Order: sequence, then structure tokens, then C-alpha cells
Amino acid sequence: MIQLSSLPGMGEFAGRWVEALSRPPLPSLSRSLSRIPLVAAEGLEGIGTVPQWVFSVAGVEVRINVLPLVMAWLIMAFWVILAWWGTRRLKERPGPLQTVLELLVGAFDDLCRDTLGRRGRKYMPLVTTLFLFIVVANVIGVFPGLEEPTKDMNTTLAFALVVFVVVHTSGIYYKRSRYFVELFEPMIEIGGLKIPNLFMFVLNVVGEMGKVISHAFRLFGNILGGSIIVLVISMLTRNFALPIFLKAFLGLGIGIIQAFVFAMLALTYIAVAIVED
Amino acid sequence: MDEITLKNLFAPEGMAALTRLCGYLGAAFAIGMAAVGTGVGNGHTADEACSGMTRQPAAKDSILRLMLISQAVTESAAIFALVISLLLIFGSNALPSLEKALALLAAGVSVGFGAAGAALGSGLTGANACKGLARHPRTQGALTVTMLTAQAVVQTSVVFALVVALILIISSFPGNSFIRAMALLGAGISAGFGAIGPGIGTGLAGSQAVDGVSRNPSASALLTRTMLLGQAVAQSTSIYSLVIALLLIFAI
Repeated sequence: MIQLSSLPGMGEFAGRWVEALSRPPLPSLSRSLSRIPLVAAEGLEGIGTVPQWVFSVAGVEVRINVLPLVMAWLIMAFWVILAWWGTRRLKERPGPLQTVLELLVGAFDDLCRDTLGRRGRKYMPLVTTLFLFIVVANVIGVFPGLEEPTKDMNTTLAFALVVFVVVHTSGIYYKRSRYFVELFEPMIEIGGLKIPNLFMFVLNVVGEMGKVISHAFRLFGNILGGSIIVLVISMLTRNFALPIFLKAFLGLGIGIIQAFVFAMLALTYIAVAIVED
Repeated sequence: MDEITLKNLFAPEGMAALTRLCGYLGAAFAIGMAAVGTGVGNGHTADEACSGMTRQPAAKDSILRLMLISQAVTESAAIFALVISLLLIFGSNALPSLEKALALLAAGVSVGFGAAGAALGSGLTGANACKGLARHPRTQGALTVTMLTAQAVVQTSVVFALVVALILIISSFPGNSFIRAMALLGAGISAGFGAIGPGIGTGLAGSQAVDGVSRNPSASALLTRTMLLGQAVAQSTSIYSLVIALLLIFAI
């Protein structure tokens, strides 16, 4: 029996994943989930120990996953510095960096205006930032020593919750009372009289919750899945040649596509909530 | 494990073997069923890409690119199943029990059948995108965006199946109650089978939406919005299955 944990780095990897997964948002879920390491602990005491920062505030233990946090700040620093460097001296005839940045921002500006019409400019910064952050977060794993923060469910769930809050506050802002009426649709019609459908209300609310779960887990599952596959194949092929190409496909290919998918889904969710036909 | 036979497999001394056995069976279910859906879906996309190139050889590069993007997204359902299979084969069974054994089997069933439906659906969408690109090569941008959005929604059902499978794998079920074990198996079946229909159905919606975008690119925003609303209704059955699966895991 080959153990995943015999691979260097796998132990702490699995531990971190278990730690991240075993604290889901619902308190009743977290009570049921155990803290048993996923991988056999034969001779590997390091399993289950994750780089966590533990402290207590007013008697409540607070744990912070340090690695995704550090990586997230690294990515933010990368984009802030790049944006500052690229826009330092804007020119009529742009240099290479300014051209790339203009292409990126311009493409997303067009997308948002095509989808949302005149309100597109308002949401363009959010959607573009989501893409820019997540695309670097997904491909950062191809550099040795760096890890994808999107491999941690806390990161992806945070993004999905941001989108959730934006979608629904903008829906209420633009549609006012009609937003709440739509939650009861399709209504029951009896003789031209429309009766709010309570059953559909429950379904619509559960569906909105489902959007958050699927939005977060799609990204998380793809990135985590990619890294697990690369680790296992590396072990089976003794790191010979194949893992590099797998990493290129899973890290660069799937990573970039999933980052774009995440941003596009955020944009379409906003469009469904605010655009009136 | 030589002394374990069918006779004492369900006895306390056979529990470790039973748990491992069910894990292997689950891994086989997961990747086997996922391979069916992904194979058919990817093949369908390639089919339409080939006939599109016949019709419009000048657009061969962009058709090839779109086909590869679509297949990479379709493949991610199989990637989920592969990951669950690897976890089931190589993961440890720290606390073997009857409930844990059936939970592992259920995890495999869940993600396997879920991946089959979702991959088939996103393959249908990708196929029509390739067909539409051949019909109207200048719609490439709008087509790619609509296709990716549609395929992402199609995969919601397999994502739900993945959530259930991960919960089943990482939770500890120390008991040996037969009823609870069957409830866990039921959770996997619910999440897995419930994801087949929504996967294919949302794929059909997506395939017609990309077809519409290629015919009338100026309506792409309206089409995407309508598609998303329709897919949300089609998707609601997979949300019922998710709710039932979570109830079977946590309430029984």
C-alpha cells in the first residue's frame, strides 16, 4: 500500500486541507466533521499540523491559515506594484507594459458594457479585480515554493460571498420592491389573480444559496484537484517528465480558464439581478 | 488480511477490510462513470469541430482553440472524479466501520454519476459552440464567453456531488448501525443520480444559447441572461438532491 504521506509535502498538504475543510461555514456541519487526518499517520507525526496562527480573543480561540493569507498579500502586492509601474508615465504611444494593461482592462470594460449596458462601468472594477487576482492565484503554483491561495476553501468562499452580497444589494438597489416580488415567481394564477407562491420562494432562496456553494467549490475543486493529481502522478512516475506537462495543463490551462469563469459568473449573476427587460 | 473471508467480512475483525474494499469499489464507480460522460461529451465536441472545419477551413485555428478550451472545461468533471478516486485508493481509513465503508462507496457513486451527466452536458454545449463558430467565425469572442458561462453552470451539479463526496470522505462515522450506513449510501446515490439530469438538461439549454449567439451575436447578453434563468430552474432538482443528501448525512 503506497501512502500519499510518503511524498514530501503531502502530509502538511493534506493536513492543511483537512483543517480548511473541517471548518465549513455552518456550525452544525463543523460539529459533525472530525479532525482526523485524511492520510494515514504511520510514522508521520507532522500530519494535521498546518501553518496556523492561533490566538484567543476574549476566551474564543481564533485560528488563521497563514499560508493562503501570505500568498494573497503577495499577489495583491504584485498587482499594486505592476499597476503603479504601468501607469506611472502614461504615453500617447504606449510601451509594452502599458499596452498589455490597456488590453486587459479594455477587454473587461467591453465585456461589462456588453452585458450590463450603461451600468457596466460601475461593476467593471469588481469583475476585473476578481479575474486579475484569481488568475495569478491559480497559476502561482507553477513557481516552486509558492502555493495557490485558491486551494484553500476560505479564499474561494470569501470571493463567492463578496459576489453574493454585491449581487443582492444591487438587486435591491435597482429593483426596489420588485426584487422581492421576483423571489415569489413564478406565481400561481387563478382567474387572472396572481398569488405569491411560497413554495417557489423557498426554492429561489435555496437556489441563491446553491449559487454561492457552487461558485466557491467550482474554483476550489478545480485547483485542489489539480494539485492532488500532480502530487499523486509525481509519486507514481517518480517525478519523471509527466508531472511537468500535467502541471502546465492543470495549473496554467485550467487555472486561467477557471479564473475567467469565476469572473464571468459574477458578471452574469449581477446581470440577472439588475438588468430589467 | 488473508484470514478475512466473506463470512467474517461484516464482523468486527473484518471491518478494516470491508472499509478498504468499499473504498476501492467507490473509486471504480467514480472514475468509471465519469469516463463514460466525459468521453462521449468530448467526442461530440470534436465531432462538431471536425465537421465545422470541413465547412469553413479558413477558421480552422479558432475552431481548434475553441474545441480545446471546451474540452478542458469538460474534463474538469473527470478531474473531480479522478481526485475522489485517488483519495479513496490512497487515503487512510483511520476508523474503519460499517458506516465509513458505505460512506466511501457513496462518495464514489456520488461523484461518478454526477460527473457523467455534467460532462455530457458541457460536451453538448461545446459541440454547438464549435458548430456556430464555423457558421459565423467573427462571433468568436461572444461565443467563447457564452460557452464558458454555460459550461460553468452545467458543472454546478457535479460540484454539488463533489461537496457531498468530500463530506463523506473526510467525516468520521464510527458507528456500525446498518440503517445509518444505508442512509449514507443513499446520500451518495441521491447526490450522484440527482446530478445526471440537471447536467444534461442545462447542457441542452447552453447548447441552444451558443447556437443562438452564433446566429444573432447582438442578442448575446439577452440570450445569456435567459439561458441562466432557465438553467437555474433546471438546476433546482440537483439542489433538491443536495438537500436530501445533506439531510441523510446529518439528520438520520
